[in-house]
Order: sequence, then C-alpha cells, then structure tokens
Amino acid sequence: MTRRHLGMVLLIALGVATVGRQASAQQPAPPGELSRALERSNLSAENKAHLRSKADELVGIGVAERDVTDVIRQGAVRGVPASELIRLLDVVGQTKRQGLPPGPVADKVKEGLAKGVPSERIGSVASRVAGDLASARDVVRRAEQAGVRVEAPGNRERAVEAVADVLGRGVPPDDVESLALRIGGSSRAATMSRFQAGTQATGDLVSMGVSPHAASDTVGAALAQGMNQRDIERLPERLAQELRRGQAPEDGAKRLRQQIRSEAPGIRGDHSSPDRPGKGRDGGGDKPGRPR
Amino acid sequence: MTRFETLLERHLANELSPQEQTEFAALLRDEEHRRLFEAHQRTAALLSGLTRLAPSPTFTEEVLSRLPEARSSFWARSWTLLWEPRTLRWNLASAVVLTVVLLAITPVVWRTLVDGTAVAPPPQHVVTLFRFSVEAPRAQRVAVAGDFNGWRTDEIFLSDTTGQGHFAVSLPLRPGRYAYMFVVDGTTWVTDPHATAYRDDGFGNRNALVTIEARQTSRAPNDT
Repeated sequence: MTRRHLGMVLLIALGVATVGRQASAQQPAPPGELSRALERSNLSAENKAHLRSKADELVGIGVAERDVTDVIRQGAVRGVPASELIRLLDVVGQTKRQGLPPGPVADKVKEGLAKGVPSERIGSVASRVAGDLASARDVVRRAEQAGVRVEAPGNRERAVEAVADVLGRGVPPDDVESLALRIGGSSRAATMSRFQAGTQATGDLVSMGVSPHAASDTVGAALAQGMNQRDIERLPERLAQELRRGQAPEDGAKRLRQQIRSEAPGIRGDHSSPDRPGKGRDGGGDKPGRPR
Repeated sequence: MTRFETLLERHLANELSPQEQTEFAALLRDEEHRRLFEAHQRTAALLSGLTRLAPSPTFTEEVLSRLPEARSSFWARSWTLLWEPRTLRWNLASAVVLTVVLLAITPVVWRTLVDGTAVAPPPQHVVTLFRFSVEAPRAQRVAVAGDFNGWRTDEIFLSDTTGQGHFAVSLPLRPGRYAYMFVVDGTTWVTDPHATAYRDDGFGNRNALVTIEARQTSRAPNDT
C-alpha cells in the first residue's frame, strides 16, 4: 500500500466516522422504556401506534425521550385519550421547534396529568409556559446585547428558563431587563449565571408576597451594591427573617432594601469581582435542574 | 623571479608564445639553466604518475564546518532562526492529522475568544441529600412528586419512622430548583407547609419549591 493509498483510506475513514456520528446523534434513543409504557396502557393498537409515531417524531427533533415517555405514561395511567395526549405532546414539540427549551413545558404537562387536570386546561397552561419561554428568550437576548456574558455552555438556556419562570409569576419583562442592565454595567460580574440568580431571587420574593416591582427593586439594590451571587440567592432567606418578625411582605422588602443600601459595597460580596472563584457559589455553571 | 624562471613556469604550463619559445631555447644554452629545467621535468613526470584523488561530495561543507565559527549576537541568531527559509516536508497522512487537530481545537479557541472565558469543564453533578418531611397523622401512605421524578406519584414514598404520622424521606438531588407536592393516600395533593418558596402551579394549587445549590456536598435537613 502506497502512502497515497494510505492517505485516501484515512480520508474515507474520517468521512465515514463524521457522517456516522451525525446520523447516530439524530437517531432516537432505544425506545425500551417507551415501549413498556405503551404496552402497559389500555390503549388500542392503533392508538399505541399513533403515540409511538408521535414519540419518535419528538425524540427525532431533540425532545428528551424521558420527557416523552413520562407524558405518555402519566396519560396512560390516568386514562387520557391518545388524541389528547398527542395534542399535549404537540405543544412540547412546537416549543422545541421554536428553538426553546421544551423541558419546562413537558414538566407542566406531566404535572397536570399527574394531578388529574383536564387536558384542555393542561394544554392552555403548557402553551402559556411556552409563551413565557419565548418572551424570556427575547429578554435574554437583550441582556446579552447589554453586555451580560454567557460564561459556560448551557447557561443561556437555564437563564431563559429562569426568566420564563419569573415572567410567569407576573414580573414585568421591563423589570427583568432592568436587572440585566444593572448586571451588564459591570465588567467581570456581567455573567449570565449572575443574571439568572438575580432573576430567580426576584421570583422568590414575589412568591413570598412582595409585589413584582418591589421584588425587582430589592434585587436591583443588591446588584448595585455589588453583592456576590450566593448573597443574591440568599435574599429570600433574609426576607423570610423579616416576615418572621411580623413584617408584611412589602414592608419587609422595604426594610431589606434599606439594609442592603446601608451596607458598604464589598462587605457581603466583592464589588470588583462579585463572582470570583472561592467566594461562595460563583459561576453557577452547574445547574441542571429546571427553575420553577 | 628571474626571466628564465618566468619562462620556465610558462613552459611547464604550456603557455609560451613562439617568440618566448625562441628566447627560452636561447637561455637553455646556459648550463645552470639546463640543469634546473631537467630537474623540473623530472618533478613533473613524477607528479603526473600519481593517482588523482576525487574529493567527497560534502568536502566543501566539511571544510567550512571546521572553520572557526563567526560569533554573532543573540538577536542576530534569533533573526536568522525566524527568517531563514526552510523546506516543509509533508505527506497526506500528516496533513489529515493536522486538519483533524485544527478542527478539534477551533471551537475551543472560538469560544474562548467570543465568550471571553476558557471553555468550562464539564459540570460535576454533585448530588445533595435533601430531606422531605410532612406531618400526616391519619395518612396510610405519603408520596412526594415533583420535577425531579417526572411527577410520578407511585415512585417515592415517605416512611413513618415514628408511627405517629411523621413521614420523611431523603433524596439525592442535583443542583437546581424543583417544584414538588406531597400526595397523601394516592389522592390528596398537599403543599409542603414549611417550604421556603412557593409557586402557583397554574391548576389551582401551589407547589413548594426547593433549591439545591451548586458546589455543596451536604445540606441541613429540611425538617418540616
């Protein structure tokens, strides 16, 4: 074999390996769990085939097989007709086709099915979650334009899910964007994980009874003081302490803002580099769970 | 050098003109000149009988390499090192390997330049043991369902270790935020009354939220 032949063989092997890898990535995962879920259901053979086809379609476009299987299993256990399950799966699939993370939508469908909620209502709520994700993606894009940096793969998607969560809790997009502008104003601290932490803290304060505007004001004050990510995440705990003292949520948030503003920058964080390693939960790249 | 010696040298080189040959013949009449001429002829005959040695192909390089090296400055040597023309030898296999390496490192370099940071190492999913507990004195069985288990109500059951309706279970959870509820006796959905955060579920109930922080190996039990 000459050198020329060896080179040609190497080139062909490289090409085959590349094409094969792409093909295998597009193939659905082995549907063992899905098959078991379908077999255990009381659905007709025709409906099982329809559901299998829909499941393969969703897995083929990148929806996690686990999510698809869980939806079908939950629906089968509750006796939801196949046509309604397919409609719910379509909501998940449309979310993925729009380039949005489908996980939160799938979770909402599974939750609704588990709780025995009528499928029309599940579809409505799931569609609303998908709409929040679309709005959140726009907010995150604008945050990036404002200088917020994606420091690790996957942080953008997690930030989209976090923003969608707080939008779903009634926080106006403008208030979330104002957080992004505050974060984008600092150089090294302008990270997507810090933006995500601020967004989640805002949502938590809202869930504790604080108005959306007051919640974003409170988190904004913390960001302006240069608090690090861990201390931003602890804002709900500090508010909880105020509430245990008998304060109303709005009054507690006001008092919390006063406390934050009276603290010298850098006391609770590091004004110059709030997210530097070794200062608590910095970076925040390891957040595989979905925000709620 | 005398006139005879000059003419003798030209004679040996076979470069005498006809006029010089006449002059050279006249000078040979002298006894001393004749003896000197015959000595040179014998020497020439001896030399022509010797074997001719051919120099090696690298003779010039070897000679030059043995010459004392001219001392040059560090900067001059660096300049030469950088700008001296070189011949690049390559073959198809090495070109393929180089292409593969370039394709592999280009995304890393690109992400480093665009994001301003080196590519983060793969996340280490450090799990945290989180304790779920609820008081349900009249319950026969209590399950917990949430985002962490696909809201399955038949998967994670709490145990009543005291026999007085204090149900609890500890679950290893990866970092993230999870919504959950308790399911009492398979039918009644109950919100954790001692959670730190809540969220409307959109279906008329309220989910409890648990946040598992990253880079944490243990967590104080949520003894609700």
